[in-house]
Amino acid sequence: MFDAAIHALMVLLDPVRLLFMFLGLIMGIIIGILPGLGGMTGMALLLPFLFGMDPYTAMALLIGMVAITHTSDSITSILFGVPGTSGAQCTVMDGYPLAQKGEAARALGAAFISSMFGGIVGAVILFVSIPMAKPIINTFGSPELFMLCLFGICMIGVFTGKRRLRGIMAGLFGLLVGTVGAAPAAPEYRYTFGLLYLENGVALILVTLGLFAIPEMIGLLSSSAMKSTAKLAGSSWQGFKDVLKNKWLVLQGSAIGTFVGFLPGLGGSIADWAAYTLAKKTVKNEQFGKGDIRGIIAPESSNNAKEGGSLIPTLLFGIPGSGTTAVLLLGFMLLGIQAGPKMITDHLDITLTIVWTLVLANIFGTALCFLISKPMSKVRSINPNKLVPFVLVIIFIGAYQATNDWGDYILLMCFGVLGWVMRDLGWPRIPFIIGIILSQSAERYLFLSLQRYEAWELLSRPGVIIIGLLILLTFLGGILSNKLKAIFHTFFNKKGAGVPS
Amino acid sequence: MRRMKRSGFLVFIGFLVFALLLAACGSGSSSNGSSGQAGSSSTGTSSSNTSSTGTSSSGASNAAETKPFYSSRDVIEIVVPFDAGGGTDAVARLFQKYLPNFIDGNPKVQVVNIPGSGGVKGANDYAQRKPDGYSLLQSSTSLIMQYVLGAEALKLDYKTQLPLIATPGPGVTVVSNKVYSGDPKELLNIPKDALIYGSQTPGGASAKTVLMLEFLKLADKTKFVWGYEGTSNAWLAFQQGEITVHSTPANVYLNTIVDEGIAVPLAQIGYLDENGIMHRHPELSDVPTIIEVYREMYGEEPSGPLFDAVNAMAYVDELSKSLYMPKDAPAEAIAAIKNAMEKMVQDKEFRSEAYKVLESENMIIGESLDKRNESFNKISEDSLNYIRKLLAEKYGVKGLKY
Repeated sequence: MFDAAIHALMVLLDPVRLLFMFLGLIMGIIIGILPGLGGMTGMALLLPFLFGMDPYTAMALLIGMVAITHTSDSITSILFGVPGTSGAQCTVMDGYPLAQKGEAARALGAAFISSMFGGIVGAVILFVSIPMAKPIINTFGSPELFMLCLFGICMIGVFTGKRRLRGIMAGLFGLLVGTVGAAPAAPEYRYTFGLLYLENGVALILVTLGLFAIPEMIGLLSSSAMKSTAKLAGSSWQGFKDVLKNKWLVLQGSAIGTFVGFLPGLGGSIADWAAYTLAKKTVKNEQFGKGDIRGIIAPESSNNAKEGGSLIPTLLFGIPGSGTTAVLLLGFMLLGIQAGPKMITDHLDITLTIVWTLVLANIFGTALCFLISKPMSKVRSINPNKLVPFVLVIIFIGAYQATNDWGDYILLMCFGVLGWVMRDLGWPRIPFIIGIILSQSAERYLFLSLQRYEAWELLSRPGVIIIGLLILLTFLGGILSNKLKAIFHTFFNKKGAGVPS
Repeated sequence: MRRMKRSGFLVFIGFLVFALLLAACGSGSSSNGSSGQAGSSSTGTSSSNTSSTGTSSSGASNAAETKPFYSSRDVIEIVVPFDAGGGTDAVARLFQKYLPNFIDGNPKVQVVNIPGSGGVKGANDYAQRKPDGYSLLQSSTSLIMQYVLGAEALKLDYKTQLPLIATPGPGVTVVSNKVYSGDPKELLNIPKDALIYGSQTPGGASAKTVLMLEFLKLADKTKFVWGYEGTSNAWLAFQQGEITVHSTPANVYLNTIVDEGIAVPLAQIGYLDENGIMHRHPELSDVPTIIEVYREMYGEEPSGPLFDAVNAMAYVDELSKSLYMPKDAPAEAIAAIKNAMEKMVQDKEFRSEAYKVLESENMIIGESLDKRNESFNKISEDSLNYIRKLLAEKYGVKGLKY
């Protein structure tokens, strides 16, 4: 396999293919920066050019484009608080506050570097897992996937802060909004009010743009201090050092991202939130949400690693884990390749070209991102009075990409108002987003499991038991540790002396 | 400071220009109802999405005699009522690439994806466009099934439509080798719930498999699991042992499933000859037709409403991935495109590219296609109503009119 890997690298290093990879990169960077346009749109735009291309060149072009969108999308997230793709929602949480503090360059540097490492880790795992992917994927049936969703839902608790009840309510409301449209496991539609538009459900990008970006714009305009915020302190070099300091966090994020991408049917949007949540739980002295650099490193390494992970089921089973990989499969079709087990026998060279393209595109793409990050970060020095209208235009263009329907604008406004109210009244918005993300898959896998298995069959599956225990552990863990702390506290207080604070 | 501000601003403007340009490309000029009439399509779109082929000469010779209906500045849109990616989109993109070479006047051809509601949104968008010859529809199995099942939301009447080219993709239903070895007689005594059929929803393309199971009188012994995200997800569940019955397009069957060695073909819906007798599709010569399986199982000739239903499905299959144009479109436009189809299917390069996508040489055009469309339109209302009632009442499919 290593001979084949080296051969594939040689194939890719052909100047023409490298040129196409760079074309893909440039396109990927632009698409990542623009909110609403994701890897899927980019792929669809590139498809017509695939006819008659040899598969290696085509992969260099397509994968080059995909590999970088999740790096460049942090530019918009950090500078404007507008997620560049739906995979960058999480980067907004800490990236934007950092930019407001004037540390945009540091935040961008950290985002690019952790994204690059994430991408490379994803590619390496893709390479290593090729022989053993099948048994692992086969152990995750519908019941196990449902338990994973449940695990995710329980994670909402991490983001509720002191206002538990509000957080839980926001999460439940998110789950409810997620049920709008076609029911995942029954031939009917819900909450559509007879509108064809709502049959597709609520597009996630509209929710994030509305919930986070619009209130931010309103806030910028209404703040009494109408000054340009950034002094542009901090350098991307510092961001680089931050990443080195948190190398385990990068690894943790990449591992989560790859795993989530790897499981077909969970949906990639969960990857960055999962990494963010876990980071929030594991790091010390966290200031997440207020501009903690680690709040960028975790999701950025995760959302890019996810791409490598999600290629595993795509290549080996022909299962598209996302819109992007669905179009990639079509690209394969146009090239006359059928994704499936043959990708590691007959078409191993193509699979390996993909792995190499992921690695090279991440390295070169990150360099390109650094080149443009300096002029881009100057945008922050523009007076909000002039900046906000432009960003609003971008937000609205981005929103219209959701389904190209007027309904997109109406929904964007609705969620914008909701987000504004939630922000001003101190309701946590992250649980809402997580609720929407998990709603469809949780329901789908619950109903699939219930149709297929009897209750006892379900509960006796080892996978279900293990994940169930994990859920219990995290759930009780928080309560227990608080209880224990309280017990210790009172115990020492009674003794009176030498209480460690 | 001032200087920096200005340069920042300029960068920003540059960025915005990119933004607008890309957004124009991204949305692919879709869904603004008026865009059927061609040349006005935004420049960003046409430059990046179409493969312009102005140099081709096939139309030039006629130009002297009569002016062709289309000109090279025109854009014909192919509405694909699904997202980019997937089999239906692939076929449409094939046409986008090759059709312009063969239509007199060499208009551009542009795929427009309007996804939503299992194809209904895009089909409705297409249905309300003017029949001016500038909008075509790429249909699919699940869309035509929505029509056959009488989905209320669908505003497209196939009777008003003219198929231009059909690329039939037959399907195969397979059963896990753990419960079935290939002898139809076994099925008579198969234990309850050994057959577990999983798919997306009974209201779409999977209705065909439901009817097959009903026809073989196996449905009541089968456990149905609805809600898988797509055919490939169901195939994964099949490999995991979560389900034991699976339906798949012939090309996937031949390319992947046969090699895995865990699935035994149950039956195919074959094609009907002029006398209405069902035959095996040539590419699936090893898979028995549903009628053969019935004969083996019960030792008698099938008849009755479910037999009619299965035969109706054979007509549906023939037209599953067809390109349509309204019958009311200008006669010159219809003639121009039909003529182009004749030339296109003869083209060597097109044939080889098409084979990559379709895994089959089977493309039907011209009179033979018109005949099939006639048979499709002649499927009796009684038979359709029987199917609709069955699916609505037994399988809970909502929104059907019968």
